[in-house]
Amino acid sequence: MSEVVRQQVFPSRRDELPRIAEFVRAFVLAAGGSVDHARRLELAVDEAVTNIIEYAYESIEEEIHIRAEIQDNELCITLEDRGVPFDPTQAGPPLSMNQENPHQHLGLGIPIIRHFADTLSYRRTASGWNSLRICRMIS
Amino acid sequence: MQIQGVKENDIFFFSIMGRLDTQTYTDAEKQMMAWIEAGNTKMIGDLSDLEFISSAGLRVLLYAAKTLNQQGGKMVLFGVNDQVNEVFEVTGISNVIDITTSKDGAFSLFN
Repeated sequence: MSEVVRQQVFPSRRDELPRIAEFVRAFVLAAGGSVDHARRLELAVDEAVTNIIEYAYESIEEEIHIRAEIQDNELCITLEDRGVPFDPTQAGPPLSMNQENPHQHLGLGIPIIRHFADTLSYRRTASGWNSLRICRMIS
Repeated sequence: MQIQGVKENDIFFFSIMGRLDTQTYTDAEKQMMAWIEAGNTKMIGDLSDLEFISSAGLRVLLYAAKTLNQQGGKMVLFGVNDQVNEVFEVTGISNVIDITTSKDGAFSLFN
């Protein structure tokens, strides 16, 4: 049983999303995952990070701590932020798609995160961090 | 992300290539709304080379489709790859936008 861990701190800005996607993709491929595994995890992380930037931090620049690890063929990405508490595992269904404003948040990201992760867990730490763990099996 | 389009008779064909996500959705939205504001009401979208879509990209397609519907028009998409199709299915987009497997299939929905 071996464990590989990588971690990095990113500014909570939209223009960091490609660098975060590359961080996830490189880790998945180095850990033995396929391009398909990488794309799936990348999409779930992209949606979760977008939620942190826009809603947890309300577009104010802060830090997002990202930890990637693999153990027993399970790849996990943990996202940590000090923003507004939000538990995506408990979020309701998407809003109506008949919106007037194209930029209105519809909650479409949450079903994407849930679908492309095998397991999803959230906790609010005693020191005030949101910690979201997104995992996928690669075997 | 690249987006391009051409009008053939009364149908406007467009294609979106690359990644439609938080980084690129504003450019796609501006272009699509410009085509709609120019009077195009029948639109067929080729997504064969769309590699990645996130919820930000979905909102662009939804808004364009809804705007066309309000004007008595319609948008049909075709050539969706497996992962993009999975995103459409899980978010319910495939219930509100017509999606076909081929350009001919998309075209037939306007006849």
